[in-house]
Amino acid sequence: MMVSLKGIHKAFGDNHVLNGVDMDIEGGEVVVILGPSGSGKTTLLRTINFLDPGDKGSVTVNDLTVDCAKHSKQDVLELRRKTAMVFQNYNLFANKTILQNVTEGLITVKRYIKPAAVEKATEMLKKVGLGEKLDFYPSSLSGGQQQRAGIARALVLDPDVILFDEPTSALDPELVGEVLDTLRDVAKTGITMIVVTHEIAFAKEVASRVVYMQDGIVVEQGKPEDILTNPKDPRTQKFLRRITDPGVDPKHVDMSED
Amino acid sequence: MDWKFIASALPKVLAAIPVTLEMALIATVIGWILGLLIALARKNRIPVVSQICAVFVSFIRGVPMVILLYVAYYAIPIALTSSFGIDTSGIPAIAYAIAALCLDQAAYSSEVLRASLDSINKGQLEAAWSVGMTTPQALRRIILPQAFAVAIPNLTGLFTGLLRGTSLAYYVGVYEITATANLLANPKLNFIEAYIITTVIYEVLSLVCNNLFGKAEKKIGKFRPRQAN
Amino acid sequence: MGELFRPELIPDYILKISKAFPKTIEILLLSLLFSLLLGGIFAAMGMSGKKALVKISSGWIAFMRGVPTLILIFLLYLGLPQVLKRIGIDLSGVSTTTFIITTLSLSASANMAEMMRSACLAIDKGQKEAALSVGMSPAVAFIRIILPQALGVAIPTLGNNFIMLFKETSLAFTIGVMDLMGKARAVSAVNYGATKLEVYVATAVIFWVFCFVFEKLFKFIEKAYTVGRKA
Repeated sequence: MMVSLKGIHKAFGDNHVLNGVDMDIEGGEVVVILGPSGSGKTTLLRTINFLDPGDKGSVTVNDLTVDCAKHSKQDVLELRRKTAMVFQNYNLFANKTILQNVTEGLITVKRYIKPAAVEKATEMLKKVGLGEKLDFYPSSLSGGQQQRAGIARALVLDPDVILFDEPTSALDPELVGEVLDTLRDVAKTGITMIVVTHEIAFAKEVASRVVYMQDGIVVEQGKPEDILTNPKDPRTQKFLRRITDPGVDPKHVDMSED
Repeated sequence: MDWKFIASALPKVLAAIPVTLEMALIATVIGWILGLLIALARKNRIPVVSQICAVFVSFIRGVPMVILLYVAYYAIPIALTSSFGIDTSGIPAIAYAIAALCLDQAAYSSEVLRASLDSINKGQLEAAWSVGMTTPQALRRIILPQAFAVAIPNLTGLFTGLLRGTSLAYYVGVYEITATANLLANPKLNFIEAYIITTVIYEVLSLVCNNLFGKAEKKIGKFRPRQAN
Repeated sequence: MGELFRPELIPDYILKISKAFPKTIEILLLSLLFSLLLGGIFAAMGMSGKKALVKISSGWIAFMRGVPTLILIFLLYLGLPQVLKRIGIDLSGVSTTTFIITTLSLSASANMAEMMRSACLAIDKGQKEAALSVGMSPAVAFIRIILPQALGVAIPTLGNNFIMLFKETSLAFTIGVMDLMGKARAVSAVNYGATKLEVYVATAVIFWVFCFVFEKLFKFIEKAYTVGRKA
């Protein structure tokens, strides 16, 4: 088992966002998490690398298990070094060039010497089509380019799992395609991915498993062709009807009136 | 205009520039480091420390520089003697002046740095954590360089203010630019000449410093998008 | 040295030194008034769009920010009378208080000008265009539309400048004015300077308390003024 989540609970004040989530993910799986606004999918992702530590439950990545309720700084650091994350707003280091963004983790965390880090990072950036932009600062790049650099920054660390938090949601529509192309390439490498997204077509094509979340629990999960074309739970059916409605913004599907 | 006086006094006043710069530079280095620590303590709401820092900052910002200098000049020797039994007669006045200027810079720079730390997107820290950096690594390599770039224009203002403030060290007996000019002017009442010399020196110093800070700002802030005015 | 700190003396010193508060307030308020007037002139020059005037304005601001207030005091109080005497003007009848108010007005005018300029620039250009579009003259548009909004923007900076000016009044003692600081030195001289630390701590406390009060006052003014205006 590559990633294992057991009984994850999380509340922000009175707002119970996660109400006991269990999930087991094998190495090489591409898990796509779908769900309406406020279903807890982004929070779940952030409990995995403890950006938002869960209140209860445990997170296992590869051979390391960390208890959400009581964890040492060292545990969290090790967990974060086994995972990597791609953010909705890219969060590239603003004071570093694109190349430095990718070498940063190699040098500070993996203890690469600089020339080796530069070589590996350059190769990775070429793969995501940014070979010409190495010395640019993030602020001078388009959102799509920034997000591809963000993917390279995560990928270069050879993590056990990469967490993608709505990687295309902040992009202008015409830039979504290039990032999805990059994500497809990443999926082909066989690395374990957990992707929170609203791109149903992408899920259908790339996911090995689709998870539908609502109200902080996993409602239904399975192969994409089962969940997306033949969902059993009425909540999933309703969500899929709504997200494919041309009048609805897929990023903000609201199911709260149910 | 007494040109003879100017010719003889100018080299002596110029010779006092290093004293002024010594005070300003030491106070800047120590003061800004203290200011950063205060800013971090207050930002992270470290109990007790953060409250003490808040009172300290409020006090320093509420008290005129000249009084601060006097308090440091009279309080530090008493404190050193009564608590550690140190003989303070050998400590030069400039040390007390520097202490007061340090505290002043610590308080003001902590406010500047706190605001600039607040302006850094939280996602930057999260991204650093996500690649496995420790918090000190993230601070040193990601957060502080960005915060510093934001802070530089205000820090420039602080530094030129400090440069002007050093003139008050005259009152606790430091022979910096102002004191030297005064001393030279007194015997024959060459006030206008002496103070014109002094004014020009301060203006040139502040011009040079503004220039250097401007260059530093360009260099440190080169990652920032061009700001539209 | 055998000196001791006697904090029990401080309350009495605070009372004694506070008697000079009216003098400090006089200097503060008059300097405030004149620095605002002067600052207004330089701000208007800075925004006039005429190259020479803009240069004069920015030169004035840079000059005042470079020269220590103490030097300016000496220059005006000790230097200026010497110069004017040669052309037959006698300044010996001018009070030290007037000299201090003049100096502080000049030095603070730079910050005041900067404050006004940036406050006016902060107001969206569309405001002026809208005012002109309904037929207001430029002067009326400025007074009725731009100024009230700019004032709201400027209040926090005005508070800072006010407090800075208040602290600078403490330099009045350098030419013998009996303000708070001058009084403090007089109190200290009575016992031959034996309790200087207590005297200066007392003065520091007075300044601190009033800075605190002024800060709160300006926060209140800002709130009261901008209520309903800020989004």
